[in-house]
Amino acid sequence: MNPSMPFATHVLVRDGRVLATGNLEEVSSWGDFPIDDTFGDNIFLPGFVEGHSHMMAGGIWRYTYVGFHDRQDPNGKHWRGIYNIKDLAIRLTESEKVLTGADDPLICWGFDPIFFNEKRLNRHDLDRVSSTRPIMVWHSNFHLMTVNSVALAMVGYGSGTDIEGVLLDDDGSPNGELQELAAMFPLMRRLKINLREFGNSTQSIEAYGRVARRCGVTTATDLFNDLLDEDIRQLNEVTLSDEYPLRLVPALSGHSGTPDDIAQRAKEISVIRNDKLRLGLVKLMTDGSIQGFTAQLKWPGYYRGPNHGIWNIAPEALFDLVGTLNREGLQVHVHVNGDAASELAIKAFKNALTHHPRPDHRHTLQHCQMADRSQFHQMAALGLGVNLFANHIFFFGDQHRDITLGPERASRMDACRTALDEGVNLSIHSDAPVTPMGPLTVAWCAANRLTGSGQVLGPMECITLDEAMRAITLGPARSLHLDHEIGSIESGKRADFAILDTDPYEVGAAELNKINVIGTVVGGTAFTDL
Amino acid sequence: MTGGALPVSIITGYLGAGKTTFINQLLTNPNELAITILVNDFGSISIDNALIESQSADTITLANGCICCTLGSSLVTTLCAVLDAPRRPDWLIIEASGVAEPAKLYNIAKAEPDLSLENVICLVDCATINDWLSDHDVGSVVARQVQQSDLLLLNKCDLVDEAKQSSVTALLQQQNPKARLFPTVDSKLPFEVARQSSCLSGENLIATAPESIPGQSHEREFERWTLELTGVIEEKRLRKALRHLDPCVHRLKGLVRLEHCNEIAQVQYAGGRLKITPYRGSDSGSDKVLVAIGPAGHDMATHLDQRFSNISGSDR
Repeated sequence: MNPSMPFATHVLVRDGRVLATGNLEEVSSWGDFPIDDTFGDNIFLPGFVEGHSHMMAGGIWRYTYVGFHDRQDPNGKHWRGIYNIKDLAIRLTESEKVLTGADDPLICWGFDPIFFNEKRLNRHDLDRVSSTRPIMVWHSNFHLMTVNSVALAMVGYGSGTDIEGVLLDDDGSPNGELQELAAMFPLMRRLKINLREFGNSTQSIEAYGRVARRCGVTTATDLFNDLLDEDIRQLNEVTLSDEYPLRLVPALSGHSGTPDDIAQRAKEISVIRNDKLRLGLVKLMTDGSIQGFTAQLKWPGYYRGPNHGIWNIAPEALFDLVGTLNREGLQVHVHVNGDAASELAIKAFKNALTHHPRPDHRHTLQHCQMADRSQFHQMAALGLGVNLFANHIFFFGDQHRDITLGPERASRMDACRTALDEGVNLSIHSDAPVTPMGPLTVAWCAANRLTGSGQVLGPMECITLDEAMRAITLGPARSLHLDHEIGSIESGKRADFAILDTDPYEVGAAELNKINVIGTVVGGTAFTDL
Repeated sequence: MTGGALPVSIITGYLGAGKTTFINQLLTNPNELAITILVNDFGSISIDNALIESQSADTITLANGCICCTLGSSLVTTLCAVLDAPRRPDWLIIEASGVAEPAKLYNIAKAEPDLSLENVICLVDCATINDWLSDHDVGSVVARQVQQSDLLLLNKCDLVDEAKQSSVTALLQQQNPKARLFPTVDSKLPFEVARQSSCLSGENLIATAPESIPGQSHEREFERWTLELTGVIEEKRLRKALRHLDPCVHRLKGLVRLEHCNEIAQVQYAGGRLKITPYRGSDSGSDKVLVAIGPAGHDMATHLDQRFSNISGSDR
């Protein structure tokens, strides 16, 4: 995957780095080395780089998975998808068996009724599983939950409750569905669901490492973290261990202080580093999500459905923040989903870079799902990179075509082809836990653009196998300022590999999602006990 | 804290409207209250939470946002910490982000039994509000801030002439006919007005119920109504009496003894929202009182007397 030497039979490793690649004769010229052919016929690729995912992808597995798509947990257990309410009840009853206390809560996540063809889940369905312990079924988008009667009673929701987001039956009693944070908060508080812990406990960091190595990822971001002193101490401690299989690049939340505070904090923490921990990147949020109708769209707006567009930061405050961070020499990644958000972010960067030009800043737009050719052109002109959410094509593509955006704009969502044609550095990502981490699946999405229902969404935006593989290795490595260290197998770089059972170049782009990951090598150490 | 819910005020308004100055003034008012401020604004040009100069209050900075993108975790964690602390503050003030919809915050106070929404105060910069309301990017959220508030401060009145001020007043009244409007300069609003609906708990309420609102200069602007309840009251009938109250009733609260359980409950009504929650404070044994406050000149007392005319337990 080193463009200068795309294929090699042997790789020589010393002190955690690649000393040489080539054929046996070429690498042998370095001297006498023992040959390790543990991975005999397997295929080595550069360790994959996940440029947009969250530590929560590890921590959330403390709760039972009940999503529609099959998923593997950090320990390798395969969880079958849940296709109907009956499946859900069976899964819950199984999970209940491991609970020890009589009133321990049963909490699960990932529920996706959008794919069901039956009545909506309600508290009665869950009451049949338990009428003694609280049950909380968190939907996949984390904006909704369905709970049983015990849980409703815990927070005092009952007949006559008149609270926005607490859905009622015809008889006026809550039906068990709670929508949005306000309605969910009282229950989360009483069930002691600590969201910060998902992202910052030792347990979560370790689980995240296991999630990553299962899909061949050797470097991953955690793209929004408060990064308090205590968090950093913990990150440093975990990543220093030889047993930890992942290089982490957490991004500091740019929303917890004034621009000067953020800049100062980012600089302050960037000096703390080890081989597997890099700090200093800053992440900003602009709009919400397209499928949640909270993204900011340019005219003509949403295809069907209401516009609930939100800004997480005032537009002029974004200009100020981007300006300050750019001036202070920091790198900024900005969440933008809708095209009005990407337009705004581009303007903010243009303003910042006009006042304070900087070579090779590598500021990056994240998701950027609706950008059109004119926006990609501006990104290229400004030197901005892009990390497109290619998994959306498969996971939500049908919904975008039929509901949120309509056929035309859906067909140019996550426009990988256009980005490359316009000369923008391209990465593609999973945003785990929003969709499962798995760079081969993301690459498959970008190269084939098949939706969940098996239709091709925008064939003109497909990219080649080579381009897709670069977008999960060197592309994101460059977006993290790490392409001199990782992203390809070549002399001088870190010995980070993804080990596959099948050669992608043999089976082709159409089969990428069927390839199995055997394990990873990180800094020369093999992690294969999957 | 002796039982009862923690009173919450939400301060909203677009960037530069004067929210921080306003909060500073609340904090510098000499009073015995333990106030906690959650600052949900960030990255703004002129607002710096370091500007909130207070000796007595805790200030906690939040990151605003939705739960799915992990921003919301800050709010959840912080609110839990405040609520579950050994000693709760007397008053929680949440400074909403300049682009936040107040409803998203006040709905939490409505949903959480241990919180009690006092009021939503929106600051408006007289000189710029027209521009913001028609702004392509933020116009709709600024409008919702105005619409979802109980108190509107027409701030920075000194920067505009009278004609402008009255056109802004008309515009805001059209956006939100129910809210009470106050022209202000430098975010200066008497402390008592900010807290007009903010009696601390049922207990304090009873202690102060016969008194008038402190700050007599405002007394004539407000009308008060009180009702002593000697016996028990049926919850269903109480709810019926308080349904669809005239908007002139800005705020009604107090303690009642409920019939079916013979327990004392706290009644809170503000901005059309009614909440009846179990009262966990000590029962002083005194009679239970309902108190209502609204702007003078709307005959609020007659309206409420009618509503309660045939409710058992009242001595009228």
